[in-house]
Amino acid sequence: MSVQQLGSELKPLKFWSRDDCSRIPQWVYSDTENYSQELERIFYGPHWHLIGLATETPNTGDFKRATIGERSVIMTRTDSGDISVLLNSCAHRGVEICQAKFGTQKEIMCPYHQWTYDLNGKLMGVPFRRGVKGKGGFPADFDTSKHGLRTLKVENINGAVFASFDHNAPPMKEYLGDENYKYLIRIFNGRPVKAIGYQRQRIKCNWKLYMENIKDPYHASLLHVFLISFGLYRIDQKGETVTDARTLSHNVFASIRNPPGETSGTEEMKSFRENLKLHDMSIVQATKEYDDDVTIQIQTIFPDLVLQQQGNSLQMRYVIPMGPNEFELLWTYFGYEDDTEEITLRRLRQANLTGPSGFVSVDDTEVLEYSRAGIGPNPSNDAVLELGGREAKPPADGNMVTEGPIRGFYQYYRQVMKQEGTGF
Amino acid sequence: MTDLTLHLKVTDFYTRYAESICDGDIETWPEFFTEKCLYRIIPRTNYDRKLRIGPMFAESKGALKDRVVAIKETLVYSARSITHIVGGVRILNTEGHLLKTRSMLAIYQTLVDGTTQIQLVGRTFDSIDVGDGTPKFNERIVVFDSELLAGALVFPA
Repeated sequence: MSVQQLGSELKPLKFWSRDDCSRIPQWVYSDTENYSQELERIFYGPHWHLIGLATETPNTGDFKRATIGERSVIMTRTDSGDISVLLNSCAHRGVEICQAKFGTQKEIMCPYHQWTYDLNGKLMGVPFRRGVKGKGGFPADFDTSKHGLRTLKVENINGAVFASFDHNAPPMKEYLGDENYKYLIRIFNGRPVKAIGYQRQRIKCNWKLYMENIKDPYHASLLHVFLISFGLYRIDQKGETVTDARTLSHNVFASIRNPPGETSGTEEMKSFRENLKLHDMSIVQATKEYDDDVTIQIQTIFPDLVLQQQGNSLQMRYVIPMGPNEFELLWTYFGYEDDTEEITLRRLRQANLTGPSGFVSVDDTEVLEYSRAGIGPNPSNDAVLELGGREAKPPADGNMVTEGPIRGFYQYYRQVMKQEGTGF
Repeated sequence: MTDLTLHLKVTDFYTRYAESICDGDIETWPEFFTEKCLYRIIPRTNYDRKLRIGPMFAESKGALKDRVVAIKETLVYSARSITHIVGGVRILNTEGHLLKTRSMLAIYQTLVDGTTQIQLVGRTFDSIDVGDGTPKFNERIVVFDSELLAGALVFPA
């Protein structure tokens, strides 16, 4: 066999060494062809993506620009009060129509040749359609109804707006499965929500590593010295791991903070600092807001969304891939429209744990870049994921000492990416 | 105190503040604030929309000390050098012992094995208490231009 058929260390054959997902070939984090396949099948395929909160565009004509994969889209409140999500690319010559982040407009007009669309993306008119003084113009059979903006499938779940390029995507409830849906509407429970601010960072590593990071309770109890030293998270704390049975790729960790002073499991945590005390306790003081005692809910929704409640801090972290080696992380912090100033202040204080300067999140941002540094030059190597076994199924007792959710993510990923005649 | 003396005093305060962050003695940083200070770093896009979320928020000197403990003891990050360039320091008005001030700020970051990058540029809108002779920030709001940050923002601004 020639070297080409065998592959080489830097250009390995694209196969997975095992049928289970306890090994992940590292070329999936750097290969450009694989990346473009991900955009097509995952980001522009039958999957749902967070666009924003309905209250970000409250009135007719209000719009917000958002991103799915590498494509820009526009979310608009239409005349009927519904929300449309349209591809931000003119049907004429492909120009990106809208550059503003937020705004209000009666109609959508491309700045280049002023093709004008209504708020649902229907082409209303083109300049010089009949030419000038009888000269030029469009052919008589030019059909404006065939040249609208590409529309996306939209679902608004109690104020959280999701969209998909593929109109065959299953409804969100079916997409997520009942258990995951239940956690989504635990937060988006019908009380109107409002954004309290945004943060954005660019992180130099493959987008999937971020989703893995959130699906990985192993690291949370070891890397995040702040969480463990101040008793905010322990791997043994009471909680449950929920994995969508259909895809294995959406999952939730929901847990309850251990009583103060309880330190079991810390003996193996080399980074645990026993004597640390906060000068200002307000950033960890949360009030109960829901009907249960869950203090941390971390939900990952395939492919690119994390929904988190950490005490009173509510955030959505949205992953925007930018080539195989970089992604943008967009944080939307939110609360409820009827929040008092007191609860808003709690949300603002507790936001110090997350974001580009977060007492917890900084660790992840940094380590993910170390991942890129270690993985990038070594595409032939495999990552090893055997904590909690080799299966993708969640542990029956819901314990969090597992990498099962990462294996689940890849089981579904392989199914979506599978191509005939390859080792996927 | 003449206007010019006061201006020099304020400029000197800003310079020493920057040195506390950049010259490796981060433990002295909270001492530039009053006990009940307000400290915030916020992207311009949030600031303009009256949204208060930003990378850092503190309502007491104690919370700034906690930030220092995190930087020194708990956060995991690679080594870096930070250089602040402070300009355009101006006293906007004086109310008793409180001075309303502003400045322009550029922060450069250099990682090990990396070239120097601009980490953040923006303006600061501040209030300085000169009551007990030593100026201290009663309020410091750092509004930065790009809401998009490269990686993590570890050190304060």
